[in-house]
Amino acid sequence: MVTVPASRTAKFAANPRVAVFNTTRPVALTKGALDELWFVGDFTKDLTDAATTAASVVPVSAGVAVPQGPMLQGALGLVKLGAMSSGSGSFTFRVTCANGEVFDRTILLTAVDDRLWVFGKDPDDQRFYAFDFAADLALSANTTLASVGMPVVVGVTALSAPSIQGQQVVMKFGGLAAGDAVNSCGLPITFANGEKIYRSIYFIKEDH
Amino acid sequence: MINAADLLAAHVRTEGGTKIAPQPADLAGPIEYVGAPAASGALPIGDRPPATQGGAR
Repeated sequence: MVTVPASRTAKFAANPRVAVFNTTRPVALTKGALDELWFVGDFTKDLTDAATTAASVVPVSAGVAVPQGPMLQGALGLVKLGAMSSGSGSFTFRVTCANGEVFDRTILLTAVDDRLWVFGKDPDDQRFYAFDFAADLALSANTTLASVGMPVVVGVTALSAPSIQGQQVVMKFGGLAAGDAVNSCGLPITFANGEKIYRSIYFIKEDH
Repeated sequence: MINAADLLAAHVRTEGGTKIAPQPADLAGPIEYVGAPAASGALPIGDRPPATQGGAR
């Protein structure tokens, strides 16, 4: 167990992945381009207003992979959305109601970069850094970290394998590429519920 | 088996009787940039967001 201070911890915020359709308009959400996460559509208002229930759902997607679903759970639609082929995409739940009506409800997706966590580092430093996924785990109904894939390391040297410590992944880094090279480490993460996210931290040179 | 109601409960709060999805700021503290600003030509860190904004990530 390694203690990593807040100054070397990247506390990643989470992108909401629930669309409550209170109107006919699309709901805009953000998503890490490579993330593979469950998204929920809430059709309660539509179904309640029409005094009916949802009978079936089919997908209409653009620019985003749909590795699982969609499926219905009462008035909620559930779909796992995966890799995005460009900076934007959309997913539509095409819902057929028990009364024979059909309606489309759409999630508009914008891919977000994860370049917010940047740490200054001397090339000679050999220190632990933490990737904190607490926010994403909370949004996934308090799931847990299951595994970490092969780190994608650029410009720095991985001095340890990634280690799961509770809601964090800890790694030790040394070295640093010279100049303004993009120094980074990206981690492919799998949650216990099967969801996957990819997050990176970045380093800039502070020569002492 | 993924439960959509559990995911909804993890996201949605109720304000004035209307369900709304939380903003990222609800889910994590303000983004903090650690260390010195990037040198010219280095990573496009951008402006620090207001304290009320969580930022996407």
